[in-house]
Amino acid sequence: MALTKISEGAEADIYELELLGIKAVMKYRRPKPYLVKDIEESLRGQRTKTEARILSKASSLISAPKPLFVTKYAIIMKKLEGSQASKGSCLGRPRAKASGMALSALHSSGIIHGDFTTANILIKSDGVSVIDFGLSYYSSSVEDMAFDLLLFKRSVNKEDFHAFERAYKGGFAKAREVLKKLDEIEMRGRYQNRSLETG
Amino acid sequence: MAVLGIESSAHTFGVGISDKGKILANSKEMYKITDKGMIPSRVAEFHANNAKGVMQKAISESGIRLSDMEAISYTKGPGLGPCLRVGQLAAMTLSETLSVPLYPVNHAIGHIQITTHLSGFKDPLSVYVSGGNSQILGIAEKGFRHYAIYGETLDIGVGNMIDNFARAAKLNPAWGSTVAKVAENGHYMQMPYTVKGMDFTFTGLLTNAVKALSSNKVEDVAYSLQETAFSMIAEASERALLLSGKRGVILCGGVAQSKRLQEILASMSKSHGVGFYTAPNEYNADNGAMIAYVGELMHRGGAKPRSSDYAVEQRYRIDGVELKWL
Repeated sequence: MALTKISEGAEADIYELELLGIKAVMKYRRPKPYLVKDIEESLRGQRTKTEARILSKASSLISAPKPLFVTKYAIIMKKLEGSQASKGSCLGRPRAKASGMALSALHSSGIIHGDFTTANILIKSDGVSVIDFGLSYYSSSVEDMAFDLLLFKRSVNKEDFHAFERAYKGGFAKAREVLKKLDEIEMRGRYQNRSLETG
Repeated sequence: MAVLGIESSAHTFGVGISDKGKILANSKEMYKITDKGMIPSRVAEFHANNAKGVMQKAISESGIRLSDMEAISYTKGPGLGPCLRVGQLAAMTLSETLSVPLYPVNHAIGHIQITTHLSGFKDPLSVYVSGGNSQILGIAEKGFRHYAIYGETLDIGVGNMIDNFARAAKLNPAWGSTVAKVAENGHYMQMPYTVKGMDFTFTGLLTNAVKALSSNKVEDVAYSLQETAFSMIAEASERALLLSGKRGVILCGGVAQSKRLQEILASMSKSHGVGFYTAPNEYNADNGAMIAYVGELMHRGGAKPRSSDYAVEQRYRIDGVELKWL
């Protein structure tokens, strides 16, 4: 079982491997030696556990990596084909729409993604896959859902967001309420002029 | 030939003098905060009463004369309106009297630029933490050259959060260093930890900590509050560091004086092989030197403020400032 590190994220390293002939990726949460033990433990251990649980649910709802094997700080999951939609690039209307449908399916099941930007959307020939559930959690709060939309809105252009919004509305009963909350969050004084470009 | 800068955005009235990036003077007087926090009009009155004295002290410290100034700068915002107006008025008067140009400076840029300057880093990731603000930023070129915000607090600044807690815990003086002192013997108890992407929130943590005071030892609550808040900032900063690919981290703003936060961010930076720097406390606390320094950058960089730019702005956002002069 050869491990190849393919990326280094803010909290985890991603390795590629083959498991019984299946192409897989392993997400390993690195130690954070600068935090007190209890916080580190809850960030690494608890998040790994939560992520694995949410991934198995999410992968039954939409195209998302299915966990195959879970250890204390690592998740081995099935590798999904597709290329990462990088930030700032145009997602295109069909993919934006597919993203809207995917997020509405997650929200309908009470899953908040927590980092729903184009960096975590894989483009494949017949739609999109959603990856990196590292900051995901269960919640029925409209505000939490609206934050998913806010992050997505900041990472795409207007046309794409419009297509996304329409698909999202079509797939989820509480969508109107969430979109209203999104407007409200954007109106909060601190963020009215926030620059969206970080590149 | 040098630039004189005036800072008056909150409780500090400061005057600094910068000569080609060399700080010749950095004088200040600080309004004493009581258990009631800051009443803007009282603080403004304090500034008005101290303006002349602080100015004279700065001039004598610098060893040059007031007539040697080639430009004047002041804090335009963000900050408390009445306080900002005192500094603005003093700066306008000086600029008129000396017939030299006047530059309005963004307070956050002041903290970030002076720290970047002292660090010697080229284009670092900036972690700016103060009473009213908590932001993770870096210079971006997209659209126009500006400080882009990678992440920031979604509610209150970390400094105000800690001060609020200090008042609820009846600590005296009610600010960060007292909380840090109390926290020294504390043990960790779980608190709400909220990071959303690279943003974070503090009100949930504050409410929880204040409630916990009634049934727990104050040192445990103080310790856990501090560790949780700083961990959130460190985690968001780590994410921003990896996303931005910047090769250095600077920590600035009032809360940057916290030894514990310095330690956490230094260790985080080290784990990614990048440098870490924070300035001496006199620059992390509000000060006139940083305003003088940025004023000098603007002056030498050919900034041309229009008359409408001179108004003070309580919510002067850093990401809207075009850094043409940098």
